[in-house]
Amino acid sequence: MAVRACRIEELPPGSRKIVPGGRFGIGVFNSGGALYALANRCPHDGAPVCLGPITGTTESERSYDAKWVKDGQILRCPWHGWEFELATGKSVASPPKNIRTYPVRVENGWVIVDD
Amino acid sequence: MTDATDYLPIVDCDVHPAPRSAAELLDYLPDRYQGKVGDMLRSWFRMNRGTGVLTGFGALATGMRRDAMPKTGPGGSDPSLMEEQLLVQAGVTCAILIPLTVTGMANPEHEAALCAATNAWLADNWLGKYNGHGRYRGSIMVCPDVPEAALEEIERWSKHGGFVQVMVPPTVRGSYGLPQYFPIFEAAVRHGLPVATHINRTPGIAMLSPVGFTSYYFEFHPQYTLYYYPHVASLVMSGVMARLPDLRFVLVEGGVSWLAPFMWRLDHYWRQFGSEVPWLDRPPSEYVRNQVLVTTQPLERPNRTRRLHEYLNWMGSERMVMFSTDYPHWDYDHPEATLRRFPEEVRTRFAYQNAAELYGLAGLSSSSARPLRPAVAG
Repeated sequence: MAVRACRIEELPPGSRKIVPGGRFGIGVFNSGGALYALANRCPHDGAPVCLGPITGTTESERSYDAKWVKDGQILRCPWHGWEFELATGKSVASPPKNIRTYPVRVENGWVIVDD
Repeated sequence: MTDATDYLPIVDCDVHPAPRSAAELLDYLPDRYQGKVGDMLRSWFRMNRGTGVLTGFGALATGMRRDAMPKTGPGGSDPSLMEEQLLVQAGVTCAILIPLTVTGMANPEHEAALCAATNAWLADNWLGKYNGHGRYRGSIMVCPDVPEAALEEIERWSKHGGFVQVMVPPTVRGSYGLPQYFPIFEAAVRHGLPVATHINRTPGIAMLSPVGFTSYYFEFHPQYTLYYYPHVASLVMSGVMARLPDLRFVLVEGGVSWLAPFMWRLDHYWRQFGSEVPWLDRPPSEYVRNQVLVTTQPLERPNRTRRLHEYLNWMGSERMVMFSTDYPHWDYDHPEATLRRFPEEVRTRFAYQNAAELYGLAGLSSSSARPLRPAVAG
């Protein structure tokens, strides 16, 4: 089923919209021009994950040497801070617990999510 | 919840209301603390950005759930938002309020002043104006290192009706079994109040382990119970638990399972060292089982929940455990995600019965969704 989220002009880069859809609502994100849609439920404890900050994460090869990476590509849950890749819904930590994602497209100026 | 018979009352034993600003709190500073102490407190709060909490490293969103931040003021300062998120969305029936305005200050006189202000502020606001529904109960904050002030606060607020326990910080100048702290436990028992303790140091330079400071928030967070072991051991060994059989000591925000192996150790060595503490007339673990309670958040999450049940069984924890969320903090335990992790046979005890019995909360039952009677008559 296709969910009409919003007009594309209402979703500029760096913004998001939470729309009804699926079982828990759907968060639609524009990150640097690319669109993503994720279920608004954290696989950890059921928090409204799509309300969390978009940020980056860290990588490191050894102690006291952390690099900041993937800025703008990571969704952090607003409750316990779990990190998920916006594009795939996959958790940064392992073993993976992933957020369900949905295909999203633009059609006639509308952002459409297929749930 | 589909109908009244499905309703599980929940008593949340760890909720943190906050003043909107330092000024709101310091307005309640009693007259005797105005002048120099009041001025010092005001300037100290200014240095520490409003609510006097010394933030250190790494706590997510300054320690709060990001969706629990009101439009103005810190997390926990908006009564409508707390009602909506805690009482409605989370389904909590009754919340035990523990303000964290007093955070282990260097100067006991200042700490005592803040306790007095906090108790008056709580009574007026969260146990007064914001408690029309009668679902909030509070804690009498005291600074044990100024004993006269602590006893005065207990005397002043014990009859109020809305305060259901005395709250002492775990960070004091000695362990709680020492003679200098006995009058506080004795006064609490005399007034029929449990004594609770809750971590009150934010991470950073204030978190001192037995071997020094932690480097990371993640290093600090799993170690809260370092502050609780010494007080439990001391209260048992020094005989305070034995002298005050009605004393109940609540350990808030330490989780549950850590007590089990500690109780084994205490009993094991009692057989060797019992003559050092002949005033104990039963194994130490029995004092713990009968007189110590723990709140569940942050609940341990082993890969197999059954392993947690084994610890709970070994502790004989049926009467020891009370549910808590720690709202509005980031490590909040959501009732729906947490209550199902308890063994079914003790779930109602943990969800509300143990707390209802400890704190004298009437009107809760699994067959009724009635709100509680108001905390204070009229």
